Amino acid sequence: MSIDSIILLTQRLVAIGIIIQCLESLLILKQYKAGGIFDWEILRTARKFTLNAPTRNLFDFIFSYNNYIVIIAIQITTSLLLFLNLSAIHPVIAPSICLLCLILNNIRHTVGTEGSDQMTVIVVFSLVVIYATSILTVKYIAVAFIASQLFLSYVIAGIAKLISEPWRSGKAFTELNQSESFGHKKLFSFLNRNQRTAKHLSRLIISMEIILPFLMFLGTPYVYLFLLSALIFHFSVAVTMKLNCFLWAFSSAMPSAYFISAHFFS
Amino acid sequence: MPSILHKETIVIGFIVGVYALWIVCTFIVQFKGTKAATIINNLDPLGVVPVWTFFAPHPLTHDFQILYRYKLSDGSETSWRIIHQPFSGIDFIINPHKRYRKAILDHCSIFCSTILTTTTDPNDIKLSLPYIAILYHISSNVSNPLADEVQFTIATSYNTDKNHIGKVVFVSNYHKVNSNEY
Repeated sequence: MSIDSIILLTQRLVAIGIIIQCLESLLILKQYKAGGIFDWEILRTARKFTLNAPTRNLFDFIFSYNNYIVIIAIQITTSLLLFLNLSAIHPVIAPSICLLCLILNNIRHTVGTEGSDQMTVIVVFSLVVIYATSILTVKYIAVAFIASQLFLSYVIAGIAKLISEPWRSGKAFTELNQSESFGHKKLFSFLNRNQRTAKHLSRLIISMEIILPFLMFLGTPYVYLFLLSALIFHFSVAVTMKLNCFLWAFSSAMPSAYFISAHFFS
Repeated sequence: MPSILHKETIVIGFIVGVYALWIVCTFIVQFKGTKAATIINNLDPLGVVPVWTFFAPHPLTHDFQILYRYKLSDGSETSWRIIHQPFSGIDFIINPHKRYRKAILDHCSIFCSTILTTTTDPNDIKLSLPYIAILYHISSNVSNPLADEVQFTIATSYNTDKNHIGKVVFVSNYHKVNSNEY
């Protein structure tokens, strides 16, 4: 695959995730009104630059209920442009506006964000960098950055679990599943009954998170094993932990990992 | 030609610099609670430096539930009601209530850790963002027209029994509904 095909696949995958996030926000618009959990009147007190003049007035204007709906609409439009690979005037415009909306969303949600939001920002920022210049080396650097963040995300998550006794023993994995927010009732019952299996599964997750990303450095076909495992992992996380947008955000970084592996390590 | 090459070098150098800084910051913020991580977090109001430790070292093992009750104008109290945190059934495709549930979770987690670690006057927690946000959310959505005051509780719960409330972590005072007198 050429680097341009990789970039196209990346922007399509990330666009799907952003559109889903936007639709989710539209479905709970009530929560952005006065009295909602995301009422700006309250959340703006979380940061100095949104609480104090002169920037306060700017953010109050941007995040008024009606204007926030406009931001979501712009985000959907720019994501559709990215998905369809249509450029408005210049190819950098759509990802730039999309990035601005994502950052505004990060400011707007002082609570309620998740790791997929951060990966989405990383990918869209890199798309801006790619389209802002016509330099081939910059494309390689941006793709390498996305791949390196994907690599770091798994390895760091694995090491953080490895140094945790509850994770090594399987206790953390079992107990995580007893929460309604991120758990799965049937999986919890199974793991609670089979604690040795829970321990082995937990250690398997830790091992996979730490070891599999290094397959990137062995090139093809080994990188396929890493990417396939990661895809299955994110699909199962979407089903059991209800973290649907992780699938799209992290999948959008996978073409870059494939490219770097195939191009530089095969 | 040389000037174009020079310009390209500057652009590439700048981009490499930005990305290198981003990677270094990513490394540092993983060490939560350290001075360096705190500094970077404070310098990152846009939330672009990722924390990749996902559910480790100590994952969430319970949910937080917010319960509330009213004191009516005749002085009587209603029974406790729970703030419903819905699921859609197709959450693995589209999960509209995810952010709402996460916001409740974040508010409660921050609030509970504040209670446990605060060394100042306990009344100060009433001025904390999570307290005000939860109270404002409840008092703005009063379902009983006779309600005069509202009180809320934060409790843990487990998915093993949907209606099972684990431990009551905090009980607020009564506050006037639709009032700014927090």
